[in-house]
Amino acid sequence: MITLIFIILALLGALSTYLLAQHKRFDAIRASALSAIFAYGLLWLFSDNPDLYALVFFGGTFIGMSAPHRFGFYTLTSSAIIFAPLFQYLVPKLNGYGGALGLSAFMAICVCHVAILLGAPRSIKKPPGLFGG
Amino acid sequence: MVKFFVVKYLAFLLGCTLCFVLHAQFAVPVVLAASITGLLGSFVPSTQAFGMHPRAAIYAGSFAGMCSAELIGDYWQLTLLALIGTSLYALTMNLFTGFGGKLGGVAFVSVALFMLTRGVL
Repeated sequence: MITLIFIILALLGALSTYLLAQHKRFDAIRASALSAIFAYGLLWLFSDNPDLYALVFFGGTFIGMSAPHRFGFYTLTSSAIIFAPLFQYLVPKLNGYGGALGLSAFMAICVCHVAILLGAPRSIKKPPGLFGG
Repeated sequence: MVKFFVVKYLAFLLGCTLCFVLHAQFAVPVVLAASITGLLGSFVPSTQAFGMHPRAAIYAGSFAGMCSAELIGDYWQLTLLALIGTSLYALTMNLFTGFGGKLGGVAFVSVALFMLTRGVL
């Protein structure tokens, strides 16, 4: 059950950042930071454990910081699904270490990249420079 | 090249310190501390010579600054952490471009190397 909530939050974080980063006034960093602040506000209002859920969302935003010409929706969705169990089982073992969230997100992206290299289906590539991200 | 490294070091140190101070001194939740630092850093003007690197270094520094106060005892330790982080950032600048989580990965490895160095020293 917790993993399902984690998957949904990571997915929301990844997709919101990915879409926001393609906006003219945003870049990946601003999109990730702004969506995390906005999500924390919402989670603080409506959830019983905003710190934990905001961490998952924040980790998801790292996945969404991927460049559109490298990874598309399909890959980001797969990465968010992989990220959720990594967050649940790996991050508690690295408690207190900065960057543990980013490492989990990076590992999730790397798993998808290796799968693509091995012939797994992937998102349709967007040409570089089409979006600002 | 030296100027480029110094700018990135200062950016990394700024991000690291600001995030650490926010959550360790003012009890701001770590997610908010890192994202506020990143958001402020995203308004740093970028020049053609440095590109987006100072902003990215600030954000990477803020991830490293998410360390618990039990791991970072003194503020001077942040300078060593930033030095390790900046070196890693500079070394991996052309690797994994466009991969999400790369900055966080750099931050984690710098924290791990910092802990190792501190243990040895």
